[in-house]
Amino acid sequence: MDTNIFPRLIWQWGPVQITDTLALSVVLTLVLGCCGWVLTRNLKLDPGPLQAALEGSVLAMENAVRDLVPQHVSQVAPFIMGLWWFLLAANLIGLIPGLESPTRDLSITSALAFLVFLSVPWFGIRSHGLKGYLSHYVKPFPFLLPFHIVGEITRTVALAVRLFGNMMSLDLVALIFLLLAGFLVPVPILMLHLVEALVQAYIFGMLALVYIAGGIQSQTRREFTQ
Amino acid sequence: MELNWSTFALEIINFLVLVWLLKRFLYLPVRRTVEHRRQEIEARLADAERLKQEAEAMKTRYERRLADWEQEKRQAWEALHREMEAERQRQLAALSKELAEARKKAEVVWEQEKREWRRQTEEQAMALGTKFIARMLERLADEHLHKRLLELLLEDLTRWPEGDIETLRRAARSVSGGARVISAFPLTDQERRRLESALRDLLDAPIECRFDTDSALLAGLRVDLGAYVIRANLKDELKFFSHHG
Repeated sequence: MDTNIFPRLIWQWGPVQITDTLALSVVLTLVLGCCGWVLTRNLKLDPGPLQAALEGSVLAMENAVRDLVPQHVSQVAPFIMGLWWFLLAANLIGLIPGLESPTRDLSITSALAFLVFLSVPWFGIRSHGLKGYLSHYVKPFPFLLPFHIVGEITRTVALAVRLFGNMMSLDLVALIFLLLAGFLVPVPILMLHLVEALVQAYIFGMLALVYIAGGIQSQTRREFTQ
Repeated sequence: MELNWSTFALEIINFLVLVWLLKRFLYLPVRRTVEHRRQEIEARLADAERLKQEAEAMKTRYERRLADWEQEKRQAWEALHREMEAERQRQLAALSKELAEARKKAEVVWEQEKREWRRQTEEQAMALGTKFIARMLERLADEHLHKRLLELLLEDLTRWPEGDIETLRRAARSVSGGARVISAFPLTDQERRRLESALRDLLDAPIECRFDTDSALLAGLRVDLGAYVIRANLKDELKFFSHHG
């Protein structure tokens, strides 16, 4: 096991730096895209086991989105589905010997959290318009505006740090066990890594969905109340 | 650990590319397939619903037809019962008519038999009565009765019906040898003269009488004028009585 758990710079051109976590993220993007293309290349009305599993997973994610934002499923579902698929792959890829989870990099998790942060006003504005969305920051009282802004920033930071901290801590604990106890001792920790990877991917995606739904439905709820 | 802004920015681009790839190559194809399947299922359900409605309509039509058949069968049964009842009434009427005719015929036969029986009974009674009376009159027959019958004859000759007088006279003219007088007892001369006188007055012509005696007459006498016979004796009266009584 590699004892360097922090991102390594593998290529640099001017201000552009390519780390191993970013490279692995790009690889995961390509792999997921290729898998999607291959699996959906020959979809049939009478599905086989693989197609049934694929359709089941997609429909399960879509249903989760539909439960919270039933009127914007087609808009929100691809983003949430991308988060879940990417985080699932990124978290679990650390179990493969020689590979590290990209989500142990704060830059990666921050980028994802920032996208979630941006997606909230993006879907809110697409749903209710700019004025309608921004008006919820000063309602019910204008003095709640700073609290709304601080809340959105802190939850975004918490989103990024939570995923980064959990994934980094797992790798760090495994490394510490490896250094102190020796070979094969970190295996239980790796099993914990498996569970943690699934849980963190689910939490990140679900929190993102809740935030987006909150941005859409807070305006809807006020319109309904008024 | 520090935030690498280059990684941060490139990861944003990378993830947006991933979202586009997944939407383009995974989400939308799966959605289209599921939607297509849903439409296929809805089409099949619609077909099944249409077939069900057609089956229900057919069932309703068949049930209506069965009801019509049932009603037609009931009407046919009722018509058959009416015809059977009419036929039964007709046969009953015919039978009643035949019975009435048979009864009438039997009554006629019975009346005839009764009349025949009554006639035979009357004949038998008459014969018995005649026999009885004859036996009794035979015992009563004597000369006094003979004279009494002669007196009755003489009295009747004076009151003879006008319609028969001419017939009597023609019979008297056609006979040759005069009248023959047969009496149960011998007549006296006076009686003979009185009789001849009465006959002469009746016939309005002279007539010759020959007098004989026949005790078989029991009492009285018989005047034979050829085709015409005047009977005033007990035997002829009893015979007449037995025949016409």
